[in-house]
Amino acid sequence: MWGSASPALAWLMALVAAGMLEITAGSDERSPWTTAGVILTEALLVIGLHWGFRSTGWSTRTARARLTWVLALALIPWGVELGVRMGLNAMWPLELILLAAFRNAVLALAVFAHEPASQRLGCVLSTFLVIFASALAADFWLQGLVMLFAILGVWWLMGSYWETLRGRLAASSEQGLPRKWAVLLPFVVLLCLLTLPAAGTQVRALRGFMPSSGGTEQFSEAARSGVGDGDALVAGTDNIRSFAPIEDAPFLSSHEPSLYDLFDDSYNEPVKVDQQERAIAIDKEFAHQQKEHHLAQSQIAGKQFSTIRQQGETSTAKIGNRKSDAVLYVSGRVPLHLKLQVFNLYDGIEWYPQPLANREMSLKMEMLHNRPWLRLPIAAGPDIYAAAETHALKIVRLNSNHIPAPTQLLGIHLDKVNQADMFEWAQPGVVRMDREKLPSQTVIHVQSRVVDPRRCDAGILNFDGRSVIYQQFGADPDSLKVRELAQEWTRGIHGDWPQVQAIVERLRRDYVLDGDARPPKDCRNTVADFLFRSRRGPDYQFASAAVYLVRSLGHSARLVSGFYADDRNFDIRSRHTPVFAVNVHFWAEVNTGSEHWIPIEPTPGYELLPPPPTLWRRLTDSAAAALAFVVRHPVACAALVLLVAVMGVLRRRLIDAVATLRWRWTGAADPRRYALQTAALLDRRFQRAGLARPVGHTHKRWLRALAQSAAGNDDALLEELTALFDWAGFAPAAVACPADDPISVCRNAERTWNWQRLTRIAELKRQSQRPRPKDRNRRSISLPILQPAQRTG
Amino acid sequence: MATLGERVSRLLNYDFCPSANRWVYWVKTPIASLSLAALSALACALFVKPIALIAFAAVLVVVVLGYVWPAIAIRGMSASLKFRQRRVDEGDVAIAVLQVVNRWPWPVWGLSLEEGFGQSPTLALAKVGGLSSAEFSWEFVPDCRGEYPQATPRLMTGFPFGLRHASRPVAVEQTILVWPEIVELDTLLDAAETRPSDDVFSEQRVGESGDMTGTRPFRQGDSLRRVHWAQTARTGRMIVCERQAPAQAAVRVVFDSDPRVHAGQGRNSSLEWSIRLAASVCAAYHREHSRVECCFGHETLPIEPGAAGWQRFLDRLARFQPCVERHHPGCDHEHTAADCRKIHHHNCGTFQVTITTDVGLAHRTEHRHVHGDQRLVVLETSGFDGDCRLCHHTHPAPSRRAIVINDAQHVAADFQRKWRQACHVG
Repeated sequence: MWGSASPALAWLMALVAAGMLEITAGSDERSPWTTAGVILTEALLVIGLHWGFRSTGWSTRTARARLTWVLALALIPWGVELGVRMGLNAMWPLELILLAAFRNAVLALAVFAHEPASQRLGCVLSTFLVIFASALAADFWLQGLVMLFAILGVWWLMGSYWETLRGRLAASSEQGLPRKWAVLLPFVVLLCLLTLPAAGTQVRALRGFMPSSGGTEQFSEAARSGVGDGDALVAGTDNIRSFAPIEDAPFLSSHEPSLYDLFDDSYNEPVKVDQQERAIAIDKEFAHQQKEHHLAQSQIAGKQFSTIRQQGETSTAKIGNRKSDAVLYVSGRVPLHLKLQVFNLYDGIEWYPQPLANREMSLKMEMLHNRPWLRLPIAAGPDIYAAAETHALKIVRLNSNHIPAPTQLLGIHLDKVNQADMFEWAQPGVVRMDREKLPSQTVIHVQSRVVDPRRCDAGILNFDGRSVIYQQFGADPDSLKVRELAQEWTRGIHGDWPQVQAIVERLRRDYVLDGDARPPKDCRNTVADFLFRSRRGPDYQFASAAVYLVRSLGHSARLVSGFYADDRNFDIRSRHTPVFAVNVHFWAEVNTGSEHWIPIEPTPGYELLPPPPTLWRRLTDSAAAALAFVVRHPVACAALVLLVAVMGVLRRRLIDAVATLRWRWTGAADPRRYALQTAALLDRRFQRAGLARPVGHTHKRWLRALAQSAAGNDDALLEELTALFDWAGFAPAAVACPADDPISVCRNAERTWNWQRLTRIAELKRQSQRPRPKDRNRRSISLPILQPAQRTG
Repeated sequence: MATLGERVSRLLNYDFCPSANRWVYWVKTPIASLSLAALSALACALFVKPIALIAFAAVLVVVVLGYVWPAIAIRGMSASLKFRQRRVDEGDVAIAVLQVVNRWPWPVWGLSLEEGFGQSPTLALAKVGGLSSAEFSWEFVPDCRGEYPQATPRLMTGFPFGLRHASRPVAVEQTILVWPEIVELDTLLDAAETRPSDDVFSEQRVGESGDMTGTRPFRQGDSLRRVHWAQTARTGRMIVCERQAPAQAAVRVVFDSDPRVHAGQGRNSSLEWSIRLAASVCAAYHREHSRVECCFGHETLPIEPGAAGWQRFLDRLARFQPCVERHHPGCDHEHTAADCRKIHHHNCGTFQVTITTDVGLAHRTEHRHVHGDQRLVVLETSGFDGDCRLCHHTHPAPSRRAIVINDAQHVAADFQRKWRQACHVG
């Protein structure tokens, strides 16, 4: 059976692969009907050519020249593309040309699938074609075709192996492929499904690997979609996948909230405390600096942040419901903390933004791959960073000139902005553009690096004496209580960095994130109130507490506000993460000296961006995610496995039930045709039950043999039925039907030779062939019948 | 003139770097193709679109399962092999019995018995049930002499996908010896050398000794001691006594066993046919109680009288393996390289039938010295699709007296016919 089934499977594999490519290639350009027509044409071509070549003997005569034909067909797309380019002044994407060459080779080999060498090569090329087509596919449902192809491929491989045994199989062995192994197929599908979580969360693109898929250096007018930061990414006019919902842009541009609107929307308006004594005194020098700073920077950043906010429902819920109101989009690894403002002074209620020092180093512009990059100066510091990586930010509706950027910012790139004086320092570590606000629909590329925790040793917080402003700490009783608490949390922990980690861990573990919690209006130290009384609060309370606790131990720390690009918002399809107004966030940074800051995240539910994972880490993460998926949905997974297993076990019965229903519904009115359909139905049923009618046996003979096995009393029906079958099969049209009511005879026969009865007969047959056991205690014996059976025991 | 298509076909099918094949042919294996497919899918997933992980997972499952499952399955299997017969001739049917034990609780599918049976088809087993022992027998038809299995057979499985074949050695409880095929010869060449024998004789030789069988007229040269004086007196003319004695013919059958002078492979090689013809000549003479010795390589085997001696001789022929470049591991011969091919005749002057090839005749790598009458049987290597591996030249046809076998497709019939002709005509 497999000798003839393998070419059919090879055809199916080739057609599925070619179909995937046609659907992928035509997703944006052809109607579904046109695509279906193309696939049908290809199928008919393969079948027609196969039949024609075999019947004419051409396939055997030209065995040596076959490779030439396959190669010629594979080269056709290049010629056609050249013609299209010259004649119509249009281009085809390079990847589609390559895949079309693959498709032609696969279809050409499918024509000769009856020959083992062509069949094997065709199946291998089909596999590659499916992989590449699935990688380009925009429609998720196409992955179902991948699974179908996997099932066909598994079956083909098993059949191919079985072919090597055929002819040598012992007569007592089953000659067909072991059907029980068909239960393997659902597991292949299940394992594929388990990769879905990983397939949906991984974000990485190889930029510039192919001109027509976008890229950093080369680009093509024929690009189908953007990978990386090529022209397609910036333009994004034709394809929504290029970067952001451009179609929404005109509507969004009408409402561009300022940074402070966002904070107020998220945390409510600050409470106006006119005459209240601050718990923590700010040194005069700092206060003076602050005042000057306010005057100088009033237009841009110098606005303090009060930790006492009004009670009541925030605007978060209202904003959160408008998921398309993204402030910006992030392309790259997430979660990502995007810094907009830093605060260094704290008076118990308010955080004051850090003024710009006069000694900030100048910004320089340099060309990298013909693109202007603003290079930020890097002071010498500890080797605690992972490799640099780039994120692309598309600003949609942010009314600020601060450039959101990760902590350790290395460079900024805006297309065609090649003058360094377009940028300036806003605050230490924060860059802004020299204009009122960031241009809308602008893509900003930021290069940064994250801290690798594995490289951070215990003494990494090596204060160099310059950052005393980050150690500002009060001497009031509340502050002393905070210090005692910090000392208690870090008792027995040696080293600066482990102490900071211990504080962060305690905050994340023992305190509750509550966006509605507010300190009382008469509170004089919101950090102490958060730590000792309420033990719950919004993220800025966590960040403030973290900064204050760290400072109490003598380390340098500061408060940072900005956006949190939440990985839960990652859009698989567009591979971008929208950042909404609700994603404003506070966190903290600790200083290692020389303007090197390590972000810490004390708020539970928020995570820092880990270093780029290694391949092994990716695999283990994927495995863990798959396992977690199973653990999260144990009932569904178990039910699915159970369902598939039950369907696998009962497959023949189910198929028979479907075939019977079809026979009942579509039975012909003509008695002769109806009898033939019944004969075919019974034949297939016998085959499924393991009682296939041997070649050369008539229905009459076989039905009699089965009737004898079943010891049933249906001789009359048997006579009538076999006469009817003989008449339907062989009698000329002039001969009348031997049965009075052929329809009822057929239906009676279908009921008589039902599935239960046939399985009983098959079981009896198996029992009669079962060998005698040799060792009753441990083993059963199966004996061959090739020679006169040699029974042992 | 070749057409353009033919030229392109030739170009595409031409092996430009045969020496590099061993480095790249692994790509043709299914496991390599699928591994490359998995890597491609992984690269697509990492660098193009993560959804390709689904394809990666599918291929990976197939690769891992196809690679691991055969190794797991075969670890629970053990098997032993024996033959019902001890000895058979080439082409005869032998019954081989394979007993397989599956220690796994699950069935093992797709097993096959490999190695040690030459070109003969062996057994494949669709399924061996879990925790069971099963015995299978099959008809083994050896096509070439030898001791089977020629190597330790292995129970092998590649199920489910044939990506990797795992195997275990099969314990051989009893081997089988396959004797070379004997070509029936109904006539014999005269053996010049005879020995008197009272017990076992192959013919009566008239001569000076033995029993008196009659009288005849004196011929010039007869010894006067044999004159029958009474008859001479009665008849008036010289009558002598006729005597004859039982005698045993002696023959040495030599065949060239140096593989370098032979052509062809396997059953139809000239070497195997040399062995068969030598065995056939030996059988013919041995049947007539001649004293026969067979020489090949560095061995001289006197064939002892009786069925036991004949069986030992054929056993030795069945086990014979030519030394190709160095001594075969089973060879206990201790000669130096120079002496390796020298024959060690026990008796000089014996009538010798030498079976060789035209190449062997030209180069004489074996059996250089002949002491006595000799009849050559020469198999022409050109008929066996071979040329001279030693000098790559064409060698002249042997002498007219030689029996030349040039029909490689019908060696037995050709030899029978030409042998009979040589016996009758000389």
